[in-house]
Amino acid sequence: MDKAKIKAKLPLILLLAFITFTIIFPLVVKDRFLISILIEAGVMCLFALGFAAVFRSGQFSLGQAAFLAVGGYTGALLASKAGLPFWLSLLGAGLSSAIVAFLLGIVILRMGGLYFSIATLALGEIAIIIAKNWDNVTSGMTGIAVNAPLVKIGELSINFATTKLPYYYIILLLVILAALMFWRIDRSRLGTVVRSVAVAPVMSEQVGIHLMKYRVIMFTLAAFVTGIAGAFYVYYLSWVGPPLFSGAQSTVALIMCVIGGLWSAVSGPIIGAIIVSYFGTMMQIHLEGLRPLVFGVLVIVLIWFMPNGLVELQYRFPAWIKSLFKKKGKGPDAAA
Amino acid sequence: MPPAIFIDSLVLSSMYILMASGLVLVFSIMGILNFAHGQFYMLGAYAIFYLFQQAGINFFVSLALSAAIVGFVGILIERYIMRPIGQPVQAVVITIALISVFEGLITLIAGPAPRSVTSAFPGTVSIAGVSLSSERLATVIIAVLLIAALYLFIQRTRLGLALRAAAQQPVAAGLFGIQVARVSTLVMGIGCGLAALAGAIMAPMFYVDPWIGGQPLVMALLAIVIGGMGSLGGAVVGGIILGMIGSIVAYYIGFWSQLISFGIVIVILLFRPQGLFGQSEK
Repeated sequence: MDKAKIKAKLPLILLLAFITFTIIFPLVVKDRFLISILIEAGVMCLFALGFAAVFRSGQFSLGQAAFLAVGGYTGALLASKAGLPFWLSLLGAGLSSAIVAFLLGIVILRMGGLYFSIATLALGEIAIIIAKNWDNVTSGMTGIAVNAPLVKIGELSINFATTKLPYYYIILLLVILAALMFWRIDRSRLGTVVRSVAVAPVMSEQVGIHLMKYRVIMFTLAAFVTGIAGAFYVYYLSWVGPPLFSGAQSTVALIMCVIGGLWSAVSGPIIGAIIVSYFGTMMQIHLEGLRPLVFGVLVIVLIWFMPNGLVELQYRFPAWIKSLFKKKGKGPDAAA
Repeated sequence: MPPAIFIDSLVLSSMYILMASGLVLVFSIMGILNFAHGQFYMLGAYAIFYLFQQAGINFFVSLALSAAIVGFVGILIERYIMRPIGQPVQAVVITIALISVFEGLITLIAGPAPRSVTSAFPGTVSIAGVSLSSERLATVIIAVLLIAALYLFIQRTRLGLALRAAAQQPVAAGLFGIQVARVSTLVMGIGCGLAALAGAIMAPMFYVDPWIGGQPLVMALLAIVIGGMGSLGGAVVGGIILGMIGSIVAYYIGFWSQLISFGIVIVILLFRPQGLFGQSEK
């Protein structure tokens, strides 16, 4: 195989290596605390992917946590009150979140730009107020204790009461599926149209693209993934309550996407989500009261040096290595 | 409806209007929403706590000082953090990160415990047989004077003219010799100063802790979308509507009035997607 072919296949090889690494990782490293951080990071990956999907259609949603809440509560009720099996209630949570997003989307996506952002911000607050006060369904601030439903894969059934490890593999699978979906969309005709809607709405409308249609599609898809993330999160914690879905969560998704890299549909949000949730948790343990200050300063410094996110490193790093070798070549020992 | 509730609605309205007008000013020039605006409100409240309560400086002098200090912090942030970064999405995330920076910093300096500021205007006054808290009355009067001064500054001074020009047509304004970058630094200072003033005049009525900034910011955001982005008059109307819902409607139906505050924003935007006084954007 010649060099160019290897170079072209390199991203795929690296990706497969990374996925294999994530599969083997918990079998080698038996640190239960680390695994639990990674599970939450996985939930955040789905959440950030949802935010990024809406952002790619040119809209800036500040209320994605509302869909996390819809998914979370629906998932909790489906599993504990209706007694549906795991996969079915996960799907139900995603669908209900998507339906809510579709109905709201055809209304609030009519307002462009910042109006949409603030409307979603209001939606996020409304979701919290409803969750806090609709006692019959959500039990207010006390929340609902959820018994995680049994997972059945073929003949195999997993009981979550004994080990949390299966959650790791399920969220890994969900993240890979969601990433594949958004990656395929980004590469497809739909993705191109969505980008044009984001970058040049007036021109897109001129050439006959129905703006609303594509905004609603992305908004609904994002809510579907976010709803599944919410339900999964609730099963993992075995509890659902208003604090899980505070408005601050929605801004966390935004921070993750910017730190990872806004201009990539999939890798940026995933990298950002993993980094922010890992270091966020670590800082909470080791720094305690200092955490908000250090977290804020770090985010500012990261954006300062890498405004296009950590994804930028893949271009910077090879260039840096090359520059190292060049300097060596010019040095006195090379001449000797 | 007791008259005290009416005064309460005016107090809330003036808080929202002061916050919203600062946000609108910054938005109209810099094109970004400053999510740390609520934290400047919190800084203003702490400034009045230290200057007026601890150091015992005259209330009005402390007000001016706290606006100046916090405004200067805003200017530094615009000049040395926001401007070098330049891209709007990244700048917005910077303001979100600033929320935790300020909250963390103040928690370190002042501690997480809530503080209270004694009123500069104790007692009550009676007007036409109705006795009202003089503190609340004074707050409303100060807020009205501030908003009037802001209006006069924008409409009647050369600097205000430059500001309006930079908001409408930044490039054309630059061609006519207006230094748009300097105008935006100044506007950031004024906006943050206004937030600090709002925090400072509200501090005696509410408690002061590092996390008080969140709620005023959300209400100010709602006020500016009700009124229409980029219009000061709209911010005033939006602030009054939200203030009335937050007190008068709350008096009758209690906690659920919050749902109305958020719901009314969505309803208004449904019929006028650009807000009551705004211009549409795609």
